[in-house]
Amino acid sequence: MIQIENCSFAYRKKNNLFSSLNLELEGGSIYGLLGKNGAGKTTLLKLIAGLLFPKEGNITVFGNESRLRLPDMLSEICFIPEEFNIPSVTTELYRALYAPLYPRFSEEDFTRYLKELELDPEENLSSMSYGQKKKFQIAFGLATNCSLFILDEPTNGLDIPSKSQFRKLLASTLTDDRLFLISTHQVRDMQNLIDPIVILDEGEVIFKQDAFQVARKLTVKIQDLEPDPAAVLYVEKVLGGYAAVQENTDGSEVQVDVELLFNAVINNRDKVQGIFTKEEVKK
Amino acid sequence: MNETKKLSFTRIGILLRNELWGNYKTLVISAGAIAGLLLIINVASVATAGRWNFNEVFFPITYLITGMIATSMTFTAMHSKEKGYSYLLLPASHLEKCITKIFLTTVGYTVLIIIGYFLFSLVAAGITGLFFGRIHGVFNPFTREVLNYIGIYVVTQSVVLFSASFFRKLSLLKLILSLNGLAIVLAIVAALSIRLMFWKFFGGFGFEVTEEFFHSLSFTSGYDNLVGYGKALYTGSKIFFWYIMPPFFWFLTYLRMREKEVM
Repeated sequence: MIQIENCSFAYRKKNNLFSSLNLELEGGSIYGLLGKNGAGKTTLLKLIAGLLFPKEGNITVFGNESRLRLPDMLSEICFIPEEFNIPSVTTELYRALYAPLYPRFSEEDFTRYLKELELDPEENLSSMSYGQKKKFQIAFGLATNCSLFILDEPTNGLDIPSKSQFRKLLASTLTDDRLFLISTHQVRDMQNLIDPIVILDEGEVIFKQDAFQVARKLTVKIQDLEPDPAAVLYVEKVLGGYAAVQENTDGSEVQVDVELLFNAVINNRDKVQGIFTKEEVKK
Repeated sequence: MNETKKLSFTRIGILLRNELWGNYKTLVISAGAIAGLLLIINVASVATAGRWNFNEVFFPITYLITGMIATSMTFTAMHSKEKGYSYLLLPASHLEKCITKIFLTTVGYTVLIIIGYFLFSLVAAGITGLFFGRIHGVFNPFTREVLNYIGIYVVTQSVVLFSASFFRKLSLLKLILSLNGLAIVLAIVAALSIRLMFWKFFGGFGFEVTEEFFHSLSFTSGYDNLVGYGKALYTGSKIFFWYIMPPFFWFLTYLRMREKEVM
């Protein structure tokens, strides 16, 4: 669905944010895009949506070059950035104005999503809070039945019940030909939703694995005594001891906390990559 | 690429409707403010100066100035960090978005201002006639002058539209500054060329016009040919101004939209 080949990008001429970035994303998944501040997550989302152009390389979405922003491609994309602006109209009027541009828009779904997210269809968008506006955009985007959902920090501004509604809605609307790409720092909000996980660091995709593979290859053990940092991938003090991320050698499948996984990958990139490539080399 | 993917009149219709719907409040408020200001001037001039052709002076001023201002604000949403993404990701091609903008700022604006100004002149004539027994006359849109103003507006609009697509902020001001800059550069180039071509007649910064100077301006092709070149240049300039400039700058606007990124 999304193909990034040898993409390089720079905001300033000399400082390349990405150099020869390669990434392939397929439908039927909710990808979690993680990275430190300034790693280029939002930039990557914009490049995929065609809002920024790669200096070199190619980015294709549904087989079209994203920078061309062709209407057929755009009608299949819903992009919800962290900061946005929506017109001061009622939700109903918004639907009437913009829905005709999306050939697969479903009014029925839209009404249902608004209800599920507890939004009033008669309310003016300007009188809504930031979180409500975000929920509205999610409802509208889902109702367009587009195939690619790009969300930048989607849970920012959402209250606790809304986060849960959001997760439920996303999980229930995932189909084989739909892809959700979520960039977030709020990994705990997304713990059970995002799969696979893509980690971006220093302009490179340093990790891209699904939850099954992560559970097979890595494990988290809570220990009373601090383990030798050299013997584990990452260690963190937690209530009741130390949480250590290490290679899964006993075959037990334990779900790894995304935050711990992220820290393990960032701090011990080569070792983690080595663990995941080991089996591939054997094959 | 299949052309139907890039040009759909249905999508253009939707974009036009959305643009009008999204901007109608600003449009109504601005039109009201302009009409109010013109009414004050109209009434004051009838009351003090008597009869003169008010519409002949104020229609082109209103038409051209407000048109330039409105056109210069056409791409505000596209340049905005928060609105730009939604505008650029609207499922319509750059060509459709560009045609919508051009149509609204040329045909749409012209029709609106002519009808609006005509109605204003009717109201103004009614008021001044009632209170002072004198009127400035009702605006007649079916004259050669109005047609000429429309032509001038369309040409200048194309330049302003391009500058609006090019500059993020204060595009009209930046355009005026750029044109001034260009004029200064051209003046300097012309002055230097003259200084180099006629160096013999200069003494420092002083320029001495002698008989020899006029002899040096010998036209080898003869006077008639010179008149011919002049006419050709005049016709060429006219063609360039009326027929080449608008599509050229509209095309540049289209290219600019195509290359627009949201940082």
